[in-house]
Amino acid sequence: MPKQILLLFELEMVIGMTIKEFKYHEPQSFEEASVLLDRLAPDAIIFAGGTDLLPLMKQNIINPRHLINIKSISGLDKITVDDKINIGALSKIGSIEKSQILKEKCNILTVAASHIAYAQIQNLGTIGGNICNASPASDFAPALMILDSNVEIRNYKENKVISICDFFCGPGMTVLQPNEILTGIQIPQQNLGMRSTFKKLCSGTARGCAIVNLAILADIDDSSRTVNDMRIAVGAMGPTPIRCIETEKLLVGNKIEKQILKEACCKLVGETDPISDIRASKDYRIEMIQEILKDALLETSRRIEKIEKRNQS
Amino acid sequence: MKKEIRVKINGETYSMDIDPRMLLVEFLRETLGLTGTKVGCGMGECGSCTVIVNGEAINSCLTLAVDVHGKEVMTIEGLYRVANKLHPIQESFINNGAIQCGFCTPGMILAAKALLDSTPNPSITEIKGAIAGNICRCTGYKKIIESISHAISPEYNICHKD
Repeated sequence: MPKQILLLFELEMVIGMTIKEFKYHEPQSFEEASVLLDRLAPDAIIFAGGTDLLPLMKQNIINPRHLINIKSISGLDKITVDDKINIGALSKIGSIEKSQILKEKCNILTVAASHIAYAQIQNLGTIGGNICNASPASDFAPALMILDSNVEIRNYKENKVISICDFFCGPGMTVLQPNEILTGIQIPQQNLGMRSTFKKLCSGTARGCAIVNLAILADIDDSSRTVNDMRIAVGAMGPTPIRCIETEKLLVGNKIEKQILKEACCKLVGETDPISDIRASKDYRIEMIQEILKDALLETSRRIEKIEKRNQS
Repeated sequence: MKKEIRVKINGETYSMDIDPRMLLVEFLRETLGLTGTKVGCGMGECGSCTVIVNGEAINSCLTLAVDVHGKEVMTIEGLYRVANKLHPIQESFINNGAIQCGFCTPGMILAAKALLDSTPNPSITEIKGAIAGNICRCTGYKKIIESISHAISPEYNICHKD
């Protein structure tokens, strides 16, 4: 290739990737960050892991005038336990996957984390960013929904705690106001003894974006095999991640059998509303989520059989 | 607006005023001339820009250079400079013929190094998991995986301080 053409080609690549100018802020405390955000919103954007934000800024889909990097605020990346489990918004996907506390207390979150992308992204991306970007296909969202998690939201003068189920409004949309920051996730401890299963379907073996995903938390009586309690949430099956309350109600009080599985699948399809997109068609999603639900429920009840057999022998 | 950063790259400390828009990969390649780190997709899909920051593999195309302030970065150039010889993973890549065009190689090797530093005896599944974020379009994964698992064998005498 002649030299000039090569240069032009390179130049175009660079221009194509240019991020529009922004003013960079690096607050050292939460107070500083929230005052700054209140003053600059809605022209400002919170910058955490950057794995979702930077590609959008490179393509000039988002051009914030102010970028507030909150990573210098200490304490927001901690995972602690008191009467509940507190996960700081800046906890990395990788540290959630490796967290011993979470492995013991709510393994489903570490399983969900292991399904999100790969090491290089897991070491950058944060759980807060994953939730705030509000992808309908988020892998954390269904897991957090069935754990009855709450999110802590703060602005410069007050803080509030709301259920994760009320947090999402649509693809990329949440109830977060322009001057509010999500600071952490709280998981109550009362449900943590239940059995959990996380399932994800995505193309090939790559740990890419979910075609559909599903998280269940089940309390099934060991001897009668009756469902005492059931939580089901699905992702990529509607404009937001969905907690399937009606399907849960249907299963509670019943045994996991062929007929009830069929009914549960119908109910779940009725509760969701997927779209066709680049990853899969609406019909494929509807077919697959039913198989995945059956699979997950059978797996959970078979696990009980295994435990029974082990106890007998 | 410029922002001052102080960062240790391959053992050397750099202190510089940079545009906050600058990505780590641009800082490495264009400001410091460390062109061993490659730019593939620029979107965090291909892994060719992988570098190690504070012991963890990350995509340098998805990191602002201001974010590595106060941290330690290792690039493929640093792997050689530490001991003034090729790292066992590099030796193993050469001996096993795990390189075709070579564009993915720096990323593959650094992803592998981050794995071996935290998991000295990884299983094949763990190796596959560690390089899941690195794409090789010459389709040479088999030899790459073999190279990483050979690199931990005694003949390469891997030293985890390297």
